[in-house]
Amino acid sequence: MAADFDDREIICQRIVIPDSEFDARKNMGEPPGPPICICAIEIGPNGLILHKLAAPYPRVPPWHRDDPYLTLGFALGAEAGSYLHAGWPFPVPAIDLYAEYMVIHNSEMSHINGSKDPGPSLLQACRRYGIRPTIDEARKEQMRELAFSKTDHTSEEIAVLQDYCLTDDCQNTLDLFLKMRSRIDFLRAPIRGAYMMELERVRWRGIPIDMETYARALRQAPKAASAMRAELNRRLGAEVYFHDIFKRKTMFAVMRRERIPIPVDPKTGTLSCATKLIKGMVGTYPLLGVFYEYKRMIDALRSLKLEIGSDGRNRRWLNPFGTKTGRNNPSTNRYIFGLPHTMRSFIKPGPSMALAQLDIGNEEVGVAAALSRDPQLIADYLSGDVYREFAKAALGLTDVSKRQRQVYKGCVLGRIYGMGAKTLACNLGISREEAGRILQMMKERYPILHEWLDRVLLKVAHCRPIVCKLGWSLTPKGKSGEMTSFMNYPMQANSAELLRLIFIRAAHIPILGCAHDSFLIEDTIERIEQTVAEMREIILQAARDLFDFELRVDCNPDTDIVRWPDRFIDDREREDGMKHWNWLMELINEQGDTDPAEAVDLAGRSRSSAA
Amino acid sequence: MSDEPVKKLKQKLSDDNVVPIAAGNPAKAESLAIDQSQLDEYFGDGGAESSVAGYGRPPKGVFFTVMPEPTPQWQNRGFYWILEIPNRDPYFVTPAIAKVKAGEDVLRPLLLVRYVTMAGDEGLWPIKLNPPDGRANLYNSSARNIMEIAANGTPATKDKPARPGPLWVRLVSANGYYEHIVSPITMEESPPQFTNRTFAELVAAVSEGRIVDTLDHEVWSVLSHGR
Repeated sequence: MAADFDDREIICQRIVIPDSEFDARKNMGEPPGPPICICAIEIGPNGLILHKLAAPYPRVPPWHRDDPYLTLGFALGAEAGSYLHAGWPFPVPAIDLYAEYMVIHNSEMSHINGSKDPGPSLLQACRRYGIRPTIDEARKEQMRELAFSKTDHTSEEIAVLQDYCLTDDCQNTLDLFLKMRSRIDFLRAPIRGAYMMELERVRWRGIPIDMETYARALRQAPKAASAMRAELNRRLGAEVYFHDIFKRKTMFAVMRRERIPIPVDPKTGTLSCATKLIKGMVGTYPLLGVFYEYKRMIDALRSLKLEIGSDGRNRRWLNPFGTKTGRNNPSTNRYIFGLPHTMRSFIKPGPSMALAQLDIGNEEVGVAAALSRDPQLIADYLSGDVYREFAKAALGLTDVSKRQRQVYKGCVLGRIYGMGAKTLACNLGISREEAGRILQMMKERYPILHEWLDRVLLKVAHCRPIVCKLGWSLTPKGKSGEMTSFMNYPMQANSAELLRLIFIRAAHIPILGCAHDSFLIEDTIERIEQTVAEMREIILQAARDLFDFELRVDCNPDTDIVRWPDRFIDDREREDGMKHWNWLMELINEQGDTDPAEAVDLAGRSRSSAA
Repeated sequence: MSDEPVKKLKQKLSDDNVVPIAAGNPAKAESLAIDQSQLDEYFGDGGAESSVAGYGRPPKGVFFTVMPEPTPQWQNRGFYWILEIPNRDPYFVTPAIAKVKAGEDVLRPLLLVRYVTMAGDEGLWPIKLNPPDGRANLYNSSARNIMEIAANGTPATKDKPARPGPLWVRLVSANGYYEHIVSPITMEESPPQFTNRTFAELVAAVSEGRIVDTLDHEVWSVLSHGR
């Protein structure tokens, strides 16, 4: 790891607290509107300066002079939109008090069962710190109304909004900063601040959606969902959907009939067939796989609400730090990456453009190898297929079948997720003894990993905070059932730290969106491969810098790069032969016949365009 | 903007030395990465005191300790007649009533022991006693032994020196009994955060509204009629 300590700190003689008023166009899928005004409180050796700006804005903000200064804000993503409109570069260093609030209060906001309270507004955060806000909700709403209701504000109205910016948001942010100051990690907070602004740049770009197909899907969603329910009933041989209502008990009966073990929901202690609980079992029980895919599609069709702007691009707040691991937690029905993977094929590049998806291969296992420094796990990870290597060694074979690989994959992931032999046996359809035997073999093959996992648990048992690479942390509460959820916390939370670092280093790369371990980027057809190469190097270098380890970055030029007029296809859908997508296209066909333009061959090319 | 808010701001800033501030350089994030060997380190920290007390076995995932009882007059543990009905909180039965209802198989004497976890959660651990006649239940025996280890420490063995109590220990389920893990953290490094409440106060907190001191208490009707 490079250790250049000389310039890792920036000494700031001034702080600047900017705020702007603009129409956020919330939940509309549009980029935020242009700022009506941008104001700032500047505090420096020469005292206090109040800045009040309105369009046209200068080339750089007036507080941007030669000496470094610290920018402070609460939810800086909002200000990032105004900076983008004004053509200003994002300030460095910047500290976002929303992000710092989420870091400092992660443990108290997180619940053992995995859920987390939503992040606070500025006023809520102020109240949490005993600050009496300078403005009440009614006045704030009045100012919002003034800002959002029109675009042609008079100079008097702009002056009112400028005063509001300075006396409300800027001053409350300053008060909050003074209260939070002693708890902020000033070294690492600017990384989170930069990330918050880069996320806004990503949201601003939006993800291109094939609007014709999506609009038809939206119109035909009830019909398609109904057909899927009927087909699912037929495939399962039971009315799991009775008059469009899902009957859990009927599904339990199907599972019992097929000798499929029914998982117990750890939150409620009751039997459950929730998709998140059966996900690990679908590879073992094909019928459960059918149920899983159909159920997710039916649920998605029932509440399809992608936020798409007038330019046909999906934009949605990614809810940064929205989970206890610090991962983003965007809406599952308003953001395209929250939909079932089949529906990601609504993504389609525009003319002359291309899209590429880069995945960090087996990221959690790779991070576990990096953190534990288990030499065998590192070697297996670097071989390209850790599960196959483990299965080969355990079975004493030179190669293994897909099913054998899957069993050992379940074991490796299961162990990292804290599964015992009982759950593993249930998921993999093997006996408890067999599951125990494989877990023991895994312990023998990766002893350093096991010792490291035990140390993590030991720390959890001592109720000490687990602190990640860039300062994100979670403190165990000492409650029953907590250990399992903490088992893979270092992997998931450190992966989220890596994602943040990648985002701020890839500010110049046209990233459109991301899942936990993958990035969607866009460029012209001519430049896309070069951009992919650049993005890949950024990811690799970020992993080297954070973990002193090179994670794998997967982007197959033949399948993971799509060029107009082809559409995006998720790897899992491709492996399934596009059958779910093609069927969805048949169901939403308004003419009653299959539209040849929508049926897709395995290259993601619609048949008509291929012709 | 009127002058008043500006005056207030200036006053606030003169009271707080806001600048200079040394902030991290995100471009040098690699040099800010925290060494993950911190997983081997422990930091003591204080916490808020709880006003409630738990009743039940200490959580398996967390280290806990109990107080030693150097004199025969126990200060932090005691025997109680407890009536346990599935899906209901336990009832505390007075000795006189327990004597009359001795035939009820859900009524038995338990040893309640005050414990506190490393997270500062305090509670009463009911340890069942093995009946004088019949086979010993290994869960009961091992729980009692582990409680004593937490209170009084471990004797010296061939491989390990003695560790005086109290100790931080953790329960681990084995096949039909409990095993335990002793934390390397000492009481000096991480002092237990027992509250100032007395044992009697803890029992009172747990048993509030659940004391059976008459023969016409509704619980006897529940036991007789199943409702």
